[in-house]
Amino acid sequence: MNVGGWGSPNDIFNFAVYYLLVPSIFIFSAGATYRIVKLLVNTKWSKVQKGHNGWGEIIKGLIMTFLRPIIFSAKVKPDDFIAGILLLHLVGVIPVLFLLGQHISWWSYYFPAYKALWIFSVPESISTSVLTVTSKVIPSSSMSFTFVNTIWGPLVVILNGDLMSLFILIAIGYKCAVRLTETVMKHNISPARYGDYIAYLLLFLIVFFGYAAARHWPSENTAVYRNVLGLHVLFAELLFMYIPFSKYWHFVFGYWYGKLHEWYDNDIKRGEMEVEL
Amino acid sequence: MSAMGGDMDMSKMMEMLASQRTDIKTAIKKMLSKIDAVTIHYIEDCLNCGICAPSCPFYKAGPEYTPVNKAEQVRKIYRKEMTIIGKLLGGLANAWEPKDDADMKKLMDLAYACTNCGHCYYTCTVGIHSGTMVGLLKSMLTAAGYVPTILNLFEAVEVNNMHMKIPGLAKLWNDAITEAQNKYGAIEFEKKGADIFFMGWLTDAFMMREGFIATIGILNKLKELGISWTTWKEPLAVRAPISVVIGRGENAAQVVSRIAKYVDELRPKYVVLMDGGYPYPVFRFNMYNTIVKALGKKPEWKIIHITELLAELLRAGKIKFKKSNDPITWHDPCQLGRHSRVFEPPRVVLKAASVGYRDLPHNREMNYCCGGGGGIGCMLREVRLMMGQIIGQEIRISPEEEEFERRVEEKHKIAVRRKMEDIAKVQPKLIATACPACVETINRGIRWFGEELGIADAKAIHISEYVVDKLEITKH
Ligand code: SF4
Ligand code: SF4
Repeated sequence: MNVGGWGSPNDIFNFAVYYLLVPSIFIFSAGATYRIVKLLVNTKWSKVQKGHNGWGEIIKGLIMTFLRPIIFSAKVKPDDFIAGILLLHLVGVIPVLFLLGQHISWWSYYFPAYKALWIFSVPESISTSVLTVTSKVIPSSSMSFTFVNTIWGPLVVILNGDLMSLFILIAIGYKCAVRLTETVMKHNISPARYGDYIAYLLLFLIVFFGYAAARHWPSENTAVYRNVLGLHVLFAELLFMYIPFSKYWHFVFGYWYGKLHEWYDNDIKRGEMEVEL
Repeated sequence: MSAMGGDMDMSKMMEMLASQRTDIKTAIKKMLSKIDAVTIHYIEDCLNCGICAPSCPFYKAGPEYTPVNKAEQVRKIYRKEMTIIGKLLGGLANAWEPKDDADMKKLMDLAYACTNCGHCYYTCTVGIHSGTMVGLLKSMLTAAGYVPTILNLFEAVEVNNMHMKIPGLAKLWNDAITEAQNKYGAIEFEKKGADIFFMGWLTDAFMMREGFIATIGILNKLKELGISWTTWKEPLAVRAPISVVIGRGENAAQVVSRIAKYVDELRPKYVVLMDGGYPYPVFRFNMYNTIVKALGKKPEWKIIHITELLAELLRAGKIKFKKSNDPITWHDPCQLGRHSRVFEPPRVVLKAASVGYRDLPHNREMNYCCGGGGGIGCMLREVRLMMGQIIGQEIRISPEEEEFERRVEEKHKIAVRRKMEDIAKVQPKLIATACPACVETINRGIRWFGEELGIADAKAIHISEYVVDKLEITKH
């Protein structure tokens, strides 16, 4: 499928951007619909003697539902907290995917309202940030928006594409190493699922090729660049298609459904009974 | 007549139980038929992050006992039976199902290393309740006839309403009722239209005897406030519904319906439980649908715990307690606490009764389970022997099950120790709680580890036992 009507799949970039995008959206949508419909048809509402909970408790409950596992892991499994929550998610995939300048520009292309997030844009590298944070010079750009104009101030020392990509790669490496060691030592705290390795590998490849493309590595040659960037997009599309059939589903649905259900179950449904005697 | 009494002896009972079993394949199908949207989420959305692991009381028993590893057994079966990739790729897609006796026995070891304490639910990154998943596993095992003898036996006794036909059990109830009346005055049994129906179980009368008597004492004192109460002459269950502990949903529904119909006839405003173990969330939440179905309407009565009643009367200024400075703490029973979120009422009561009250380091949502729930506290050799003495007939099990019992006890000890270490940090003399399994387990833990941890003279009691003689009526 050739979206946009130009370019032919003569390199990976063209193939990924102009041929694979629509099929990947289709597969993702079909998978996502299947999973959501499956939940809907299996939904059972049960009657209960509901708790008598005030709004204050309910809102506190909502916040704690999200925070509790994070606090818990920071206390009892600090390595998992650092690798899994902090490096992989909080200063890894989430800001890179949603706030990296290049990605904001990509999101804005498809969803113009996304432009509103430009103000939170994260630069690609610390040197770019130094330019924009400390110098009066705003890098020129042929695009319709300013390329980097960060409000993160000194935080860009951490919040920059280069470092955050490394965080993700390190976190994936650590997770795989722990998992493999556990399997070899036959001491699996959590099950050895092969699907996890596919998930980690895809993410690793996306980040690796994204990082390489941003640095025009391994060469300045445009054709090479297009292929490296193309691989970045291609693996992103593969992962996108894989989402509904893998643990990445948590990102779009599972996590939110699970946490909101937990909140409803614990903080709305259950609780002390009102007694009037 | 057998020593057990009634019309049925142990061997007949065991025959009857054996006749209920199905083959493994049917048991699997039965388990999978129970899956709804929430369980699909529990099955499909696990990230395999392992964050839930340290919350489990059995974490230190070995990596296979982490919540995610136990729940994974259900996931594997689900993948094998319900997913195309699982059917096609089998083990490569982490799909598997038990085939024979050896597989089922391995699963027994995992299933009976879970107290359904719910701690992993609160610590899971995506809100997965692995205890519920283990419950599914138990239901499959039970359906195929893999169930600990003592639980199987007492479930059958309860489902068939035979408990009061066993002289030893009837005597425990009757003696406790007599002593309560001698101490705190007469009980008006089965009175219609009373404010409160006290749903005291047989287990309350013998596992928390003093607490049971004290609860009756409290209710009799509350009459001064014009609050009327009643109870059954003979309990309709040992501790309803035991069937939930082994995952026999149909039997649980039968028992809960029987009780709901009986209570509804009496038309109370409140049903008060002193037991803060599984009966509380089962009646209020998990099987409330069954009650509505059995009655054909929502019941008029509300289900509350004795601590909710006392806390409310305290807040309204209708009662107070003579204050002491006893070093006392509260152990949240997992079912009353995490599963029902009744955290504050017992604390309101205990703080009003003692300035020496202190919370445990791990409390409320993060409370450490005592390690005795999910039937595990009843599956120990000493308990089996004691129960045999009570029913007047030795409860015999196979050498293989004795081995299983020993392994359960080993893991149980590990779980109990974690609780004891937590208790030792605040050095209480009294540990108030509200669940018979917790009382028994904590006292057992004190016997096992008290000396070493410096809490040898501490004691676990039911909260009613602590407050009954301190209770004063302030407003009439
Ligand atoms: S419910 Fe409790 S005992 Fe069961 S797996 Fe979860 S933490 Fe462990
Ligand atoms: S914390 Fe939740 S998502 Fe993570 S392994 Fe445990 S059950 Fe799975």
